[in-house]
Amino acid sequence: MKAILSLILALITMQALAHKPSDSYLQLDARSDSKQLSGRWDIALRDLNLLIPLDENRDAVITWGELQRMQGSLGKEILPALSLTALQDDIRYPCPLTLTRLQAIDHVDGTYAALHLQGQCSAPPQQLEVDYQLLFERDPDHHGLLRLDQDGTQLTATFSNQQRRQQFNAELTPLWPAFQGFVYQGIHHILIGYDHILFLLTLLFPAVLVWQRGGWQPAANMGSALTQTLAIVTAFTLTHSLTLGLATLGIISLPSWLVESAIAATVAIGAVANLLPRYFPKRWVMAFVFGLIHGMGFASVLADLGLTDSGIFLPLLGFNLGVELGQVAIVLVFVPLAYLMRQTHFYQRIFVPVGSLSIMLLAGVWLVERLS
Amino acid sequence: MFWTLQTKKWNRGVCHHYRVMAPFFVVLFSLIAGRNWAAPYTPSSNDQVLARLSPAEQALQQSSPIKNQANATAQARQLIDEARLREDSRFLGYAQATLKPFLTPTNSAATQLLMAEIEQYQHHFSLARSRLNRLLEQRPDEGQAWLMLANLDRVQGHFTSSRQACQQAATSLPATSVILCLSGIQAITGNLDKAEQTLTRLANSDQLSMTDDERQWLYTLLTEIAVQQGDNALALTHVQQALQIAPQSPYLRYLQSDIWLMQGANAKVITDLLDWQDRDNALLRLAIAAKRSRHSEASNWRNAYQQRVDMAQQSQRPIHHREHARFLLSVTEQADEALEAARANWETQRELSDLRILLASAALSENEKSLDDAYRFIQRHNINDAPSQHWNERATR
Repeated sequence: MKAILSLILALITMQALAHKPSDSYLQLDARSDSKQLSGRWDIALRDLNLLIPLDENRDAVITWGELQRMQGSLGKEILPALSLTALQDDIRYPCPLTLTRLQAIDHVDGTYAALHLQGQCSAPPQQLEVDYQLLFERDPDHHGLLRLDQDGTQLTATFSNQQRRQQFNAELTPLWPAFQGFVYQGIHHILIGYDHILFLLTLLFPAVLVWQRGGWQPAANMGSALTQTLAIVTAFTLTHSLTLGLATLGIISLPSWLVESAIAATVAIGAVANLLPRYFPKRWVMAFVFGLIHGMGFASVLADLGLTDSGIFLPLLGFNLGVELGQVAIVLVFVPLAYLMRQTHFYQRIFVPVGSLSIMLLAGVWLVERLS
Repeated sequence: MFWTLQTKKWNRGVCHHYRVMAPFFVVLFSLIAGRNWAAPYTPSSNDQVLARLSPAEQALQQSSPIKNQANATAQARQLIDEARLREDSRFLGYAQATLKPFLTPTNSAATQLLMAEIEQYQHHFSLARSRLNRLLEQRPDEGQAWLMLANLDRVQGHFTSSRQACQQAATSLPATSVILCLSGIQAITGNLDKAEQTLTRLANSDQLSMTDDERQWLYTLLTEIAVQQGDNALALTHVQQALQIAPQSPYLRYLQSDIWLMQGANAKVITDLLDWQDRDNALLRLAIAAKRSRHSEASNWRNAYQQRVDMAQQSQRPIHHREHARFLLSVTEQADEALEAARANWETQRELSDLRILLASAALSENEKSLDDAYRFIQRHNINDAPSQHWNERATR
């Protein structure tokens, strides 16, 4: 009868259970031209404790000292749950693993042991087979989440009680066409991204001029105009590449409405700077600082293009290169024209102020739209 | 020497720009530092505590292999109870592993019932259903199996077969369980008042002896009925009667919070669930209450819940669509996405809370088809439910 009593509670509660289930995180790095493998395996201490008694003195806490003293057992009893095999022309070459270092790492549901691994295959893996057997006997609902970096390309996979062995192929989509695709996307984005173009142009408007005695004067020579242009473009490139990289790698993340609104604000401020030049003497500083924001905007586009199938670094490099090419194209079209017109009344008194004012108004409208 | 020269130059030229740029770098680096960026570390002392074990986890560590079926079912029972109380699905896995060696086609009903219970908690409804059907083919007098089947049918909106299963249980179970089972169906199929009368009579009756679990079930049903009637004050009284029997029951605590949320008593929700931030269901209600009361933790709880959803997606486990739909609707205010989740949920679960979230998200995203589906379900089963009625009226205005 006892079973009935508790079973009744099961009839009341249909709610989903709400703690994170048991997962381990396995990161492996392999190259098809190297016999060496390396990686890290994060296993929850709660899970490890089921397989190796970690709480030596039974005081209901696991300390770093207790974990360290079990390092030998981890190597002997836990590592065999993970077997890696290099496959080359259908011949199997085992890759025995060793535990090189033990650390701790905090995940969302508590502290995990971080097992740093090194593997030595008897042949470089054309294909890699991963056989994952951790914990299923104690918790059939356990999952192992693998992130495999193979020749710079990232793959993800999940191991479960039903799927304990998987093979991964190094020969993926040919690299060059994929790379070209991302370069093209970068060019495309900057050329259709009006906000980026306008920001760059507002900064470049006065690159062929000098602010002297309360008015615009034409730059004395090509050298001075080129120096200003180069300073602005370099500063912008440096910082937007930085945040594009950081955001793509997931190190920083901001909500897109905030980034988009901030981009609109940078365009407006750039235009204001042209109208009040005495307060904004150094354009390159503005390009440098605001580049940080534009980079995050580029990153969201890159994220939309999807990285999971092609790793991170190749798309990042390609896309960034594309953005720079697009940017150079804009500079090459605009700056020579501006240089030729720099002495005209039209350029100094009409084009720069009226153009800047229009851009300011337009960016103001974007800002309001993106904030609402 | 080199340093002094450089410094002078720095002071004259770059310092101004440095001052301009410094705040931006501060923001940038705090963004980097603020992110939950997991990196391994070496603790500074051997005594540093990395994890604390609950008594149940300590017991697991010391457990030796179980040799007979009676011990296995007793232990599985404890593990499932632990899973439910702590809302920790790891314990369901341990219970499953404990039962596994004893799972043969001819094994005891207890083993099969416990497995079905685990599957039900894991939302593997069809697995649980076919296991129960197999068991009942062999042992048609297994009342508990009928009750579980009735429950599965009720949850999935098959009310006729659910009623039949309750009646089948009558041959082998005490009357109270059968009355509770049937009243639960009555309440959601057009006989709300009758169900309430039966249950109130049962609550006041001295003739039928009731276990604590049955009493808890009774007051839970009365709470849900009061919510259906739109009487939140009465619902609170009943849920508190149930909580007196089981103060730590997660289901009852959340039920109480949901009533408070309907009353706008956001502060009570936050006070009550503050210690349960490691539980997704509590986090969801904290996020809703905090958003509505503009609490300082609102964005932290929202992000924490979002992170749990992302983790579940990453590990390729099923998302709990009902809770996710509620989050999308009430916290991030994405009605279309909420409707998508609510519809996915509606495919597998058709309790009143599933109906309410479907109606609410359909009304807010103005989706005629989903509204129609919900209305048809309400009409077909003659459902009386004040919260659903609210969305119904809002959509037709």
